[in-house]
Amino acid sequence: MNVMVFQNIFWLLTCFWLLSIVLIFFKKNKLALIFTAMGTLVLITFTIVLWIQMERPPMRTLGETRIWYALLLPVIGMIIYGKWNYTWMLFYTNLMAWIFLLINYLHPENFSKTLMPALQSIWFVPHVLVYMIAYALLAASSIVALKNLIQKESSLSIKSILLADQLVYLGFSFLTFGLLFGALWAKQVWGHYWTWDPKEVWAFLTWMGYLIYIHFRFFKPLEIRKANTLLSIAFAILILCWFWVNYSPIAQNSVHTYTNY
Amino acid sequence: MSHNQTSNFNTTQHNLWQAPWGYVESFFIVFGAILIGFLWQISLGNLSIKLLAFPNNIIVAITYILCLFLLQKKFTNILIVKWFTSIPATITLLSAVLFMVLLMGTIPQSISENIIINTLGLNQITSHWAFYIVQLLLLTALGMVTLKRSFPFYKHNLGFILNHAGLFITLLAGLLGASDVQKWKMIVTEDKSQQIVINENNELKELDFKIHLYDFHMDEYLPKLTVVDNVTGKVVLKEQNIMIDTVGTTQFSFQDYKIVVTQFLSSAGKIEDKYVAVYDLGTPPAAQLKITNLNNNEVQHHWVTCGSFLYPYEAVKLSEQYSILMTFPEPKKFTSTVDFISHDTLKNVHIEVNKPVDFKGWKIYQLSYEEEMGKWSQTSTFELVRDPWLPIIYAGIFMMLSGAVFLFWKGPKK
Repeated sequence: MNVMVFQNIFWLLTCFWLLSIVLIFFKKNKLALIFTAMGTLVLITFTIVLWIQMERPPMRTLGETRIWYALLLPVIGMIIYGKWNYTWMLFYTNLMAWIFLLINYLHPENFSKTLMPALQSIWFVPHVLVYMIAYALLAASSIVALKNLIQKESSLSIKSILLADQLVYLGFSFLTFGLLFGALWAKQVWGHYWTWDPKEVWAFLTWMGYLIYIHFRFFKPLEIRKANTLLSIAFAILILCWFWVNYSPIAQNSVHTYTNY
Repeated sequence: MSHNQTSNFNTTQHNLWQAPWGYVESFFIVFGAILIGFLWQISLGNLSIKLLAFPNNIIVAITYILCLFLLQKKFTNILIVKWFTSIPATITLLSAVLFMVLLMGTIPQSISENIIINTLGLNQITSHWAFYIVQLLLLTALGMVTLKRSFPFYKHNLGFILNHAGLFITLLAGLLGASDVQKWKMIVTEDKSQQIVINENNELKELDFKIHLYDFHMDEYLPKLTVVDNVTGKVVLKEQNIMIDTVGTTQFSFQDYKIVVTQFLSSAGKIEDKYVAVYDLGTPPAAQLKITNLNNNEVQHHWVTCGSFLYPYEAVKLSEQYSILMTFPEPKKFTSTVDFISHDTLKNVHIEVNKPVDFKGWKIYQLSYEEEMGKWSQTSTFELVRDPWLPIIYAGIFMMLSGAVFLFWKGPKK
């Protein structure tokens, strides 16, 4: 699998997803849904082929995790649209998925077959996949939060913060799974379940951020603006954990840096 | 529920330290605790957890849990007990732990020359007094809340209890068990036995069993080709690198050059100016390249090899500015075939990364090998780990996993 194939896929998805975004703008929701689904199917097919050709799960590099993210976000968007009839969610998830693929397009990486022994484990796929699902759900919750923050106070709807809560609970349960799967795997591969490796530190911070949000909501259910701010901060920590940590000076000795191979 | 009772206290004016304590009081308590932690850190240095080795940690654990139980059941009216189970305390303590971990996550946790970092102990947060204090406070809050909801037991509290008790058990066992963890390294040479292990403080110890290494074996991926800048040494190829493909033809383009691999030898030796298949100690892979300059259709043939600890590497100079290199093959899998020999048992096993082996209460991991020798390494390094608190940690983790299922299933309170 080479970079060219991905670039063609990217242009195809650009057509599908940007078209669906335009269609949402013109209130052609059903058609937008169809285009979103078609784009997602293309990306799922691409990921399956990639997995087979690389002879390893495409989950090693940051770029590969972005593909999973771009795949999961529209799925969550479609589910939320189906259940709550929020077309704006589909709008943002598609846009975000497209932006993540755009990053991959601008920073092409060769899909390499190499997978270091540390990653050859039955924990590899569940650990990364569960985290990607968590990240996608929590992104959706932050879309709600940011939308609420930008809109005027009066138009804040209780319904939408309840949706954010729902997404946070789902996302947080996956986040917990990811964190604990990571701990169980770490025992198997590095001899200890928790070593405060930089990536572990930031994964823990992310987890704490959402934990604070959940407790805050429980205590002050009517302070929606503060809750939205907290949720945005928590997502900022998540993004730092995901992308910044690998390139930061504190990660010089991190055991979680697999991109440089 | 306490949350509903306390939820409106902020709306009415009340004096500082007047019951119930809210965010302001919580902030002062936790801020004070962190301050004390820093003062102790400055005056006493790192907290030594050696004092808490077995059996002291068991005694501390039992006493601590009994105290929590007693405080929660008999002294419910004391302000501080009430405070510990309040949401302002929870949120403030979570924020305090977040703050300490944020320090850990932004300041490199390694030797520093900065006076402020050294004095305040900011580069050793994991053994910092303030970090232990906020963890202890959070643990206390967690323990009290768990006990409060557990007795009497109601079925609808199960998810809550699993989440909170799971975290409490994991944190407590992790903190108290840390001093009982033993970690040793053992280096064994092929066809030899070893009984001596070494730890990070360079202390030696003789085990009551020995490890005999029959064979250290490494599988490697095929090497890759890349293009680098001759001056900076940086990779300039858009695709980063191209893995050599032995099934199809390997080819790639760089600027005006088209590069095709015409021959690949997995193990090669140089005879005059070309390479032939040789299988010997340290013989590296080599590839013959056909390089076509697309501007003038000039064709050149060159050999490229990554070399090894025994043989030099050979690159192809494309131009004054760029060269083609072969990268070292990356390890795919490494395995040690060993015997564990004790006075009454003999166990023959393969040890691999991700596949540790249990023997006599130890977990034995494949750690490393002589990296400069690569697959020709004559030795294998193992890590031997013993952690008697592990079953308790696992119990806590599985409670949290079950609790996460509850969160997934039931979602937020409507």
